[in-house]
Amino acid sequence: MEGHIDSGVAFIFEGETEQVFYEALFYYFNGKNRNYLLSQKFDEKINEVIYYSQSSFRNIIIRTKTIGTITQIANTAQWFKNSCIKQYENIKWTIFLCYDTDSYKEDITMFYEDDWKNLRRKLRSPYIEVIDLAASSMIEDLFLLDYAGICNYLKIETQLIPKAGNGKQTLKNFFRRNGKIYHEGERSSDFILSLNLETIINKSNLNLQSIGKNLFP
Amino acid sequence: MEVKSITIGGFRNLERTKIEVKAITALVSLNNYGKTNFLKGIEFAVAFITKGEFEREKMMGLIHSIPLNPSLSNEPFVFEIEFHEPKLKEYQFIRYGFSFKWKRNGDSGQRLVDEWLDLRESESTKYTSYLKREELKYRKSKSTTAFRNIILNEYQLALDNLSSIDDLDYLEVIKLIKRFSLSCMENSYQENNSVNSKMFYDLKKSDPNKFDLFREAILTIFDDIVDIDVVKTEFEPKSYKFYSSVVSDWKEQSVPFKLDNESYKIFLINKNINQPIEFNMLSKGSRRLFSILATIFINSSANHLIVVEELASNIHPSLIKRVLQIIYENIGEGKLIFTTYNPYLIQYLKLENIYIGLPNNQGKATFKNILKSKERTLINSAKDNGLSVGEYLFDLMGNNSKTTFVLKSLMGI
Repeated sequence: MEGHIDSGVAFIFEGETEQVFYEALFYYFNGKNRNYLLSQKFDEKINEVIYYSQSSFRNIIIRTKTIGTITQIANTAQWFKNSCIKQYENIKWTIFLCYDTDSYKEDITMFYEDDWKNLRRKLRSPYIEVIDLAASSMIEDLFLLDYAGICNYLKIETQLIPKAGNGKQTLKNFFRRNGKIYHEGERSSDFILSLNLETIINKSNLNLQSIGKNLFP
Repeated sequence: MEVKSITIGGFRNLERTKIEVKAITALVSLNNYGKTNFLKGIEFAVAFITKGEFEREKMMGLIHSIPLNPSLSNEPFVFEIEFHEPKLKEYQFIRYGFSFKWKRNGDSGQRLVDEWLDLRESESTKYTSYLKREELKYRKSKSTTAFRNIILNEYQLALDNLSSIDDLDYLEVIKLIKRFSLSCMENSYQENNSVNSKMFYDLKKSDPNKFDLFREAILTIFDDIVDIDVVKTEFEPKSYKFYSSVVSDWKEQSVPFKLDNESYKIFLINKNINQPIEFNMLSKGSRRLFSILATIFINSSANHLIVVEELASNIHPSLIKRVLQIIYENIGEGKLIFTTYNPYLIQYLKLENIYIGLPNNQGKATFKNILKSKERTLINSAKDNGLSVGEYLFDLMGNNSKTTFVLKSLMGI
């Protein structure tokens, strides 16, 4: 990306499904503010695909990091310092931490209590605003807010979705009962794109509107 | 019914080692330490229980099992297992074990030296002994404190005799111990790692819901597989005509025991292949993973332990979490113990589920957890080094005197 960058927004996702959902929100909020053009470009120097939100008045760079099997939360602060701050000096950054506060309690998890608190501490700086998009619920609990959209995706009559354990188990169970498999990660994109994001934004306790405000001010 | 713990000792290079068995338990250490020996020790013990006296005598002299380490060479073989079965009420917590001396020079010395059965109603009470092999005595029930005599020879387990005593109040306990079974998955893809298509077909017929869950698991893990099925094929009738033509007096009805002429095949539909393919056409790694999952699904409701050597071999790191989640969700009352060299797999497990080979210079193997009181220290040190807990643990195991010192302190040694 050539040209002047006014500000930066970084997203750190707990997993791939979060990444798919929040990236869908980027486009949703862009649809609400057509003064900005949202684009993706591969930066050969940084070796990553980077989003840009551009208008006649403002250029915003959007960086994303997903914690996975190899990428660790322990080196995420380092990624932000080396790959964001050092590359674009003297701009203001806003960081969204997108996670489930209870994920460390799951049976199979790479997270420990205080992981995100420690990350926030490492990221702290006068020129950086850190926003937690976190609650004691899974990303699937957000999807469940649009039960009509889920039923529509499954091609069944609109109905309430019976709870069966946590959000993921509930969704898996409901998909299974209706002859489909709930996939996580990138394979969830068709499903996520079929959901009514406005419903989810309005019903959620998370301040999802803050994404739109920061990406397309 | 669930297995709570397993103890093995005096087997190959194993010191007496107790593992508190969780739904998923991992053994980690450097190469050639003794992880596989622990798994083989369980396999050996289960086989010992099921064999007759003649075979047991031979097993007491198996050269691949006798401890050859100088400091263990006089140690007897020890096996102990703890179960919990709430239906057994006052006998619901069970501890059973036996011990024998290995064969010595001159084809002598091998004999069972101890066997015990302890029962209790709750974990907050002490175990009560119901079998004292050294005194050749057993107790009939909780309501009597008197012990009866039992006659046993040196290769005979009391378990064999107790199961035929009708008035034994805890006969179900004995049956439960004898029913305990094991599935072993070797490291490399071998015959015993292949899927038993018949069992798979039986699962589909007897428990279609579980079969559907297995199908869902496979479709979740393998992005390119869109369906899976198992079918039964039978000999065509014209084959019988063929027999009749070669064997002059062959008649289908006259055969007193007709061989099973059915065969079973697993088919998969891959979205990138223009026709269904047989299971055997999958890659080696996929076949192994498929086999491990099939074993878990088929045995999940039984009194069963599954042991897998190098669970993560041939599995791409990006699939590890998915695989572990599927195992965890579907293992039911079964338990899985596996070995691994993969720090990315370990990072997804609670520290209490990870047993680490204890560093020593004598070639003896034993496994322990990180102390509960040291868990936070370990987690913080890993983060400070920019590593996952799994990576940091493997770093500490790296056979370096300084890291060994750190690891020992975390394990309370």
